[in-house]
Amino acid sequence: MFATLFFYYLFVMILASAVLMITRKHIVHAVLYMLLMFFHIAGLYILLEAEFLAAVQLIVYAGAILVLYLFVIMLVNIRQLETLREQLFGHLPFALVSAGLLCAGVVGILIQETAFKDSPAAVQAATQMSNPELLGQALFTQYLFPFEVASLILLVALVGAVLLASRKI
Amino acid sequence: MTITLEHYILLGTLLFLIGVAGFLIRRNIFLMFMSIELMMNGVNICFVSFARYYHDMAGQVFVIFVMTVAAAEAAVGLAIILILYRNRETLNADEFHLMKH
Repeated sequence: MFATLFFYYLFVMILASAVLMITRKHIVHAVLYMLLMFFHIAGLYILLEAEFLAAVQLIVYAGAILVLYLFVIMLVNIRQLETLREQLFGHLPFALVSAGLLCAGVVGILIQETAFKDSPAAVQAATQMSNPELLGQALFTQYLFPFEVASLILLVALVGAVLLASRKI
Repeated sequence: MTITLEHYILLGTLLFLIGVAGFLIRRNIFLMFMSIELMMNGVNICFVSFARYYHDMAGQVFVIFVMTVAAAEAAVGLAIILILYRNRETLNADEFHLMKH
């Protein structure tokens, strides 16, 4: 019962903060709504028994990426941001058509696919391991090579960002 | 009334669609980038819910990779925005048409 109520609370809050985020005129307000959304998504991960990912969500998204956005926003002229004129719904027909097509596709798949049923009696992790233990075991055995590739991606991004930001182009 | 997998998929899909809408209707380059993050979060919700309902850790492992790519994308993308701003003095995505000339 509590989990159900919690889920609906998170459902409403995530979608509401996302909609508020993309409609804000002031960019810093949008970033703050994004922060609110990240916190609620972390709550959703806890509800989904992914405690490690909830922590990573807060540390990486709310802690690192969001602060990076705020720093860059403060590096550009904030007054320029305020005078940026844009008609919010200038691209509305295009947006509606593409979003409608995407929505129709996903709903069609969801209706067609009957395998999406909750199966609590399925495998039900027989081990008593906690979520970070399970995740670490999967990450460092079966997915070791993708893990190394991910570290390489981060290295390339690091070098690329430094190179781009430092050189006069 | 229990929460099924479909509820989570619906939430992830709606979040993804809000991201698409934000990317298409806004012209502020920052907000377009943030809309991409929104889409990635919608996908992440779907991954984690699949991992939960099929008892397979692969979904959660993949979320970590998505977060890695999101971090890399934010770092490189924001550096590019800074360069564009330095050269063009604007943040309107419609005015970035360097490749047209």
